[in-house]
Amino acid sequence: MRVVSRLVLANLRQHPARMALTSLAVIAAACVVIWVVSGYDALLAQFDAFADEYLGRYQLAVVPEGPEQPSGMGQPAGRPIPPEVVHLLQQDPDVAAVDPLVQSPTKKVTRVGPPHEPGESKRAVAAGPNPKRRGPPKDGSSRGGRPGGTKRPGMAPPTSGASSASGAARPFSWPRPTLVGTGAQEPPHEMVQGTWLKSAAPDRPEGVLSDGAAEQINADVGDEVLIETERGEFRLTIVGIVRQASLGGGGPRGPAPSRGPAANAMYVSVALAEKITGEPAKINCINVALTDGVDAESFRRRWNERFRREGFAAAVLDPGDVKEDMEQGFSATRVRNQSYAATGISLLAALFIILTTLGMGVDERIRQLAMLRAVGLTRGQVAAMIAVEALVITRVSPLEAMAPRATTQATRHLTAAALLGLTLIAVNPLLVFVVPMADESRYGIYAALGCTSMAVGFVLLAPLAILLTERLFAPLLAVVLRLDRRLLGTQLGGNLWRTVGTTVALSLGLGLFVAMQTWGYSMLEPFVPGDWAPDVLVCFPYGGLPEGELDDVARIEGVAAERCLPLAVEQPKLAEDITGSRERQTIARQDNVVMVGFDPERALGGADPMLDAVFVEGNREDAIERLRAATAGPVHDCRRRLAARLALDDEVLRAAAAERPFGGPGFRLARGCSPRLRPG
Amino acid sequence: MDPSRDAPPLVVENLTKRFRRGEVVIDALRGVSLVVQRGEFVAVMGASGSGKSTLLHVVAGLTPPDDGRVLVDGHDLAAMADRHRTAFRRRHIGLVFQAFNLIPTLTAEQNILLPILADKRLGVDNGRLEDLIAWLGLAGRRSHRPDALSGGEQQRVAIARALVTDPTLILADEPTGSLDSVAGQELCRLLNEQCREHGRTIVLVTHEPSVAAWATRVVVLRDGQVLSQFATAEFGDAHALAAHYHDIVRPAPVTNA
Ligand SMILES: Nc1ncnc2c1ncn2[C@@H]1O[C@H](COP(=O)(O)OP(=O)(O)OP(=O)(O)O)[C@@H](O)[C@H]1O
Ligand SMILES: [Mg+2]
Repeated sequence: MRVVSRLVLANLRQHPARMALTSLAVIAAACVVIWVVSGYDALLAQFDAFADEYLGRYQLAVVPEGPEQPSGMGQPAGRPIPPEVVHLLQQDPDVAAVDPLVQSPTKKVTRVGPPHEPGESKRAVAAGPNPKRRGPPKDGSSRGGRPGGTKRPGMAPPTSGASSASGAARPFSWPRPTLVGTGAQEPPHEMVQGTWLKSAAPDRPEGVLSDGAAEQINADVGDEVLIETERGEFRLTIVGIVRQASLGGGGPRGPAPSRGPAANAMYVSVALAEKITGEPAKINCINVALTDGVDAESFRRRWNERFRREGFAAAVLDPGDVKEDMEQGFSATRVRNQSYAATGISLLAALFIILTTLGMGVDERIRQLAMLRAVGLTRGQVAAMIAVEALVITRVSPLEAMAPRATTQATRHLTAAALLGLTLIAVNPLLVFVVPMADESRYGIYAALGCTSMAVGFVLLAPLAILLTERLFAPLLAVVLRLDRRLLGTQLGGNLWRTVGTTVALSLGLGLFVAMQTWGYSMLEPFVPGDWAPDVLVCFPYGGLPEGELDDVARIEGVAAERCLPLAVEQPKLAEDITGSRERQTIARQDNVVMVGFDPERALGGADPMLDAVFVEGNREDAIERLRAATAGPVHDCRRRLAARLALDDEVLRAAAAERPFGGPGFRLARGCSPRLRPG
Repeated sequence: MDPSRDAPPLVVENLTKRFRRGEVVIDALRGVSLVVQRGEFVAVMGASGSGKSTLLHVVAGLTPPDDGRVLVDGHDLAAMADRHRTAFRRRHIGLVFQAFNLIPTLTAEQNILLPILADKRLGVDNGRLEDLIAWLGLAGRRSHRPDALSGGEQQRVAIARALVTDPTLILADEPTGSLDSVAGQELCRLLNEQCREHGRTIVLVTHEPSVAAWATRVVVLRDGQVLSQFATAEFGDAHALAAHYHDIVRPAPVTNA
């Protein structure tokens, strides 16, 4: 072993650059493997385990219909499930237990130490929001408050991304424990400590934590915790802890299902939940346990059918849905990181290949070269040979530029192959940027056709490059160097196996790189804010900025007072599936939209409008007028393919508006005002 | 006037060569002088590290001397520009080494033609090439690559390459070093024949008295200096030559006791 390490060290000292690159490449490759395998696959595998345990002693959960509870921007409450649903379920003989949950977000839950005297906690219930606490939060609590988990990153509206510090860590910030009001007689999950909530409302407020939440706030049974909500602060005593499935070994990281029961929970009685939130209980999740022998799948199908038929906006979730939910959010956030990493690695690989090949070529042949010198080749001739090899390897030669002499049949074939190769290479960018196609097929076509054609293209190009080296480049160089062209030709040809190998390797690396760039940019394009966007967007969660405080914001140093436009941002669910999200969800196809309310005159009007949008259809004046009439809204042409699905004057948000106190019956896209994110 | 007309093919005058490895300075050659006449076959012997290879390299102009002069056919190699020196070597000096003589990617014939291919002014003399190949017994091997040739054949290809430009001087550094005695003796016979029948001048480095016995003169080096010179004709056979050589290089006995 010592001999080996010595040899390795000696080699390292001799070729520091190569060794450094080799090590880097190896480390990078190892990292990728670990990252992909453990970070992705392992986590996906965990989803299975998590999804199976997620519902605890229940088999199914009933949630409000749709992928997300519409607790949108700064809206604390979710759309409730009608209480009739609970009654209907209770009447089903297949059902063993029905436990409705009243879930609401908390702003903060902290341990405040050992319990205090019973009377003391009542004092803490404050009416109305505490004004001192308003303003951009220091962390992701505004979004994390959603029952059961983080927001799906792919759907994050642009405002959240731009809201300075609060947006950055959001997609993966661990949610605050969710307040869960429940009347369940038995713990939903295995008790690990203490006891479950007593059914009778106690004089002393008590709660049960999920183990993840307990770990997060470092609380134990018997501890007193402080809950901060929209309404104020409240103290209660922890009487028990349940073991609940969490991802990543309980660590506050990773995706969570976007609907269903909270995984990170503070259980209290329903009465206490009402007291804390100051609102009448609204059921937003129902845990359902089935009697033994009942098939969960057929039960789910039957009830989903019934909900649809009877017009309840509710759906039955099973562990499979939970897993699917998590995977969707998870993969979307990784795409960009992956493309960065892959780009870096392919660059590194290319560099590594060039350097080692050159290095090895010279190294292996150092004796040869010395001998060639002894036999009578001048320094220039030897140097030229190495240079030619390097040129051939890196392919920055004038080879391709030279017109091939189509003298032989073989050359003609090779030329045809090369032309075909060039065409195939061009297919990929054309596919991505030029050819219009349907969303459903786009990804598949790109992966199957674009990448394959590029790889094949590069390979097809290689033989001609090599032939040209021998046929054209060698004689040319021979003339220049006054060297016999047969000598040079054979020298070049003799090292061709290496050249070919390198060419193929490099081509693949290069192809990967080009593909990555093409793909990456085409994907990022619609998300890059254009010139129209304001310099800063500030998010005010929890009820937003109170009336009259806009002036305070305008007076903040650095803010141009007259260039400060209040926006009302809402993310409602679309009533109809106009984007085709039910077929398959993608970034461009979602069942919700981000609605931005603003003063049309200030935002769009004037010589220098705040939102300097380009109207791809219609015109500014018409849009302002109709916006003022509050019957129509502009739509972002953020994704032309999406916009193509929305014809002007479509009634997009009719049903959504009916669900929420928003607009009137029917909300139309204003004719001809479709501001576009980026021109071109 | 062409200095090569009457000048001896090789004149070495007071040659000094030092190698510096960091702090350490090695005197590889310390004032070596030597004259080799036309048609002479000189064997250079000496212990390992005595400077034999260094002498050959300096003579071939592969490395410059620190002091002294080398005249090949009356031309001072050190005074030439690298390009001219290389061209001169190509045309007037044939080199043969112990190993790694051939380019593995070229065939035997291409290897032989290497010096000619590298030189625009030299043309391939097909008759001469055929003669050489036949004389060295390589007729069936001309399109083989080196890895398909035996060690002896490889060395014969190297000799053919050294001879292909019809040089005045052949410099060979232990050409038999990696051959068995039969192949070694065969190689020596061929070189000896070149001297006798074609008036070729040969300087050959060797450790083996049986190889040196084919030469006309033996030069013994020690510590970078010429220790002794003698004609092989003084000894009847290789054994006698070996005995004499060992007497010379044996460290001087402590005399006063
Ligand atoms: N390139 C070099 N750098 C440093 N020292 C060298 C170099 N070449 C030779 N030497 C030193 O010069 C001395 C003479 O070396 P040379 O190779 O001429 O010996 P040699 O007589 O050919 O030995 P051998 O019979 O083992 O081939 C030795 O001490 C050797 O270490
Ligand atoms: Mg030597």
